[in-house]
Amino acid sequence: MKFPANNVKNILRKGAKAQRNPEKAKLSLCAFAPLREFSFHWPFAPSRLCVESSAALTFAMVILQLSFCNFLHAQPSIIPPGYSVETIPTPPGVDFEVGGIGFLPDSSLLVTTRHGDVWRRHESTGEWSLYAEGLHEPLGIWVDPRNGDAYIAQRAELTRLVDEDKDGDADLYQTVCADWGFSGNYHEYAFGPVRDSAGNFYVTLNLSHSTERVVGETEMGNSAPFRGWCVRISPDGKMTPIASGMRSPAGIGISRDDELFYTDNQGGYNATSGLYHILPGRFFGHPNSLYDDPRFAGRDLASIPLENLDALRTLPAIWIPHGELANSPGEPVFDNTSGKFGPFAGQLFVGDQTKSNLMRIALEKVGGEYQGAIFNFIDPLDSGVIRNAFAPDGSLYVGMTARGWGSIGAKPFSLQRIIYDGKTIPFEMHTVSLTRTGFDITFTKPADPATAAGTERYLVRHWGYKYQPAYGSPKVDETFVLPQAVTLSVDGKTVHLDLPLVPRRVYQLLLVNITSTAGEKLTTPTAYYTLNRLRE
Amino acid sequence: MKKSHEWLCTLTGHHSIAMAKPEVGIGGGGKLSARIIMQNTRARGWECGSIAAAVCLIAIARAPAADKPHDHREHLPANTAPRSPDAPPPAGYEKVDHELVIGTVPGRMVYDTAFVRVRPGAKVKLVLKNNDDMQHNLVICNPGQDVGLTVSQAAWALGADALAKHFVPDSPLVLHHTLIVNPHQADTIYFTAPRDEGDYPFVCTLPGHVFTMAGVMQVGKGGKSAAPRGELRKREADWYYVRVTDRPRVVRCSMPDSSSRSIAVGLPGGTSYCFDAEGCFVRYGWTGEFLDAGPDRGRGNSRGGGANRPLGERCNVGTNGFPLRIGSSDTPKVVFRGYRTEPAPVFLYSVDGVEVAQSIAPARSGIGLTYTFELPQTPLGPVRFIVDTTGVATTSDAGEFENGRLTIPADRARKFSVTIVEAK
Repeated sequence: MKFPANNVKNILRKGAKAQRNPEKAKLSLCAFAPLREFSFHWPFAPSRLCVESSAALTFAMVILQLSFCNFLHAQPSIIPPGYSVETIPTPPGVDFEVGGIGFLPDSSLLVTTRHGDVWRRHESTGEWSLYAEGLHEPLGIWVDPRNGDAYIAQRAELTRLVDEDKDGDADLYQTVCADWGFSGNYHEYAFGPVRDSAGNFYVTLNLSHSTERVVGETEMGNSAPFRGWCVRISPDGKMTPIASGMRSPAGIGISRDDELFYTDNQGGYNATSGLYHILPGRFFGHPNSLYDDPRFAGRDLASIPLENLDALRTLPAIWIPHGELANSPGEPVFDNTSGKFGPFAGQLFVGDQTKSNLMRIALEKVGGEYQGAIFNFIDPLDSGVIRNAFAPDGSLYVGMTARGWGSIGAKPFSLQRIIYDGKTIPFEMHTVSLTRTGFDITFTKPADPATAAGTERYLVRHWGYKYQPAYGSPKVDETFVLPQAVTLSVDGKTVHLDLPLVPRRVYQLLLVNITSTAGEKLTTPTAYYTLNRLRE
Repeated sequence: MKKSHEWLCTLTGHHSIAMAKPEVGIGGGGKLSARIIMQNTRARGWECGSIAAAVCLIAIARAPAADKPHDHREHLPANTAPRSPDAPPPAGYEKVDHELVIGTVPGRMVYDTAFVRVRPGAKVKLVLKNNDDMQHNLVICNPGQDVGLTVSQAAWALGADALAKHFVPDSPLVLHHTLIVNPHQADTIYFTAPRDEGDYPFVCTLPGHVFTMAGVMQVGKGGKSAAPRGELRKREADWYYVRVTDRPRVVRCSMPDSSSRSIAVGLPGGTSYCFDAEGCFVRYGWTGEFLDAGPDRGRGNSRGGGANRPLGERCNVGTNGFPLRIGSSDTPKVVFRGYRTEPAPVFLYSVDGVEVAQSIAPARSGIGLTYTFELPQTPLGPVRFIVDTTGVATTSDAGEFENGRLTIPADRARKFSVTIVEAK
């Protein structure tokens, strides 16, 4: 156990240098950001003392880092090599708070704004024109690739926008389904839709910020039918509520195989934000939605013991630690670009409204259920990230708004595009996979055995969360682990970690100064793996 | 510039500047590790930081043998029980000079108070009452340009520490702070106001909140007042008023005296109306300007959700629920189908299975509206139109009203108009 002290001393030395020569030190400080993130819970006394003994220096480092990395640069401080960010100019004078992003058959972009407009950006000229207006906070869009009809979830209904006279803007606003309840409370958002291969639409519905139909001491209520549900809407407009227990299901995504996922935001009955796998009949933990569940008709929901609700709920496939990775995640999108967006095909990308970052999720099935790892990917972007959409060319459009909650990205709204150069393979953890004895970390390219083969290179801690009506949950029973054995595969791409495994925990894996054979550092050295189930 | 930086640990009852306790725990790897947790080494910031290690070691040496492993961090996570305003105050604060209550406004990302004034050296009790649906805190900073933003940015950079530290960075710019306060809870702090007069900013340091959650605690005997707000109001009007020029405007929103599924329509010429898409009928009209969309769309940093404000004088159009009867039923089943926008709005709905298109125009004479109904085919029986005639005058191209009822023969009902104006 000799490694951390040296590292920390290095950081401190560089920090001291930074004070004398901030310009020169800026890069090194950025590079150490992940270590600083870890430092508070550093389990080893000597280094802990070193870090604390320089509270002033730490503060100086923070200020320097902020000044030089995050806030003056247009580019994010964390971005994998090969990726770049382009800011799309939005219509002048318009509060362009993005609610949904889609593409017409001619590849032109359609963007819904929270104030109710739909804007079209013409592919050839880059000019914007108003496609529709006056919608009620539309927070998603699906465009039919066959005819360009746009399906949009507004607060009040699912709407189909049609350009009947083909003059370039919508003239028919057709109500597809308005069967869910909407009392008018600001928190009653409707998100989506996504569409499955059979033509069904799916919309997720927020709870109300109210005191009606509340179970327990919690901040959200249920002021209208089917708040806290995911509903399926058939092509002919018939609504079927399919899953419940949601709080703020601010993003819904669907895979090529029609598998549905949604993200939820931390709050009552929701320990921290997460990504959930929707299947009909599932209950995700927030009991207020059960007022609309016929199986509970006439039941006094408040009398159901918390442990029974706990047993009833489906855990998230991914817990997203609050304050560290995300506070209010938005839309999860699958990378179906077959490599056009880089080496992460099939994985999910999701942004966060508060942290203004873009994260990457690698799921796997264990015991028949999804779980997996989440990584920070690009951080920060311009404003609060709530929407992502892959363009036909394989680039990722990111829609942002800060209004109502604030975001670390200081702009009130923005539209940015993430572009992959098509060739650079960044050195990253591609996946983290559970084994019977630990984890397999697979890199995007071979790791240098001199850096990747030592147990001291892997700092692991894990924790659980409480299920409770109160807002969120602290980390419970945080435990530090050193791997018992580390083996690097012959091709250098997969490292096997042996360590004790405990179910229903989040494992944080921090990789210390591991490089590729070419000496590249990991852009994101931290992975968070949600271990709901052990491998049989 | 030296300020008073005492930090009252009202949570634990300690008045120490630094606390440390050794903790022995079994790591998940089965290995024994010693851990030292320190917190809030804030006293005198810069100066004290360099001696913190020594303080820490002394503290370790002096730490009493704990009954059981004890982690001070457990006091601090976000779900810590807040300190009640009714709890006994710490020693020396039995009598305070100022009792301040600062609340958060639900859904608006602002404090309800942007300016407080205290006397130099006064004893202050401050309650942060969180009425919002998300977590907030309140951090009082030393005076200076953009200090609130600087402190916030340092808080956001705390990473994994952020929650445990309640988004309060170790910074000499921080004077006093509450814990993170969960929704619908409160936290109470006691402190002695600085002796130096000046404007001490207070902010919420949770990520992104500083841009709107900011105020000033003025230490002094008076003089200055809060920032003028007239300019802001003018700007808001420019942003949120929907104006009608040469084409109709259609805005889906919550409207007063109508359902949350309402549609406000402004027509060129100064006539507007509220169509309730839940009931499929016009609730009322108004004349003048069109709409203040600020309440529902969200003014400033608000999340919105209120009923929008018609900008004009409301006119009565005799509404008495859904007006049409097609067939014999007196309780028709009505389903909203949507609307067309070009060249003017036409509302589409079905009445007991019959599709109806309704267009709405200003009445040619008088203050009111003319509705034109179109059915796709001749109905099986007569169509009735029902209105509350109190204070209105009604006419139709398809017959005469009798006691607020118009009966249109089936062969005349494919297309007919009704005009309702305020009685003179």
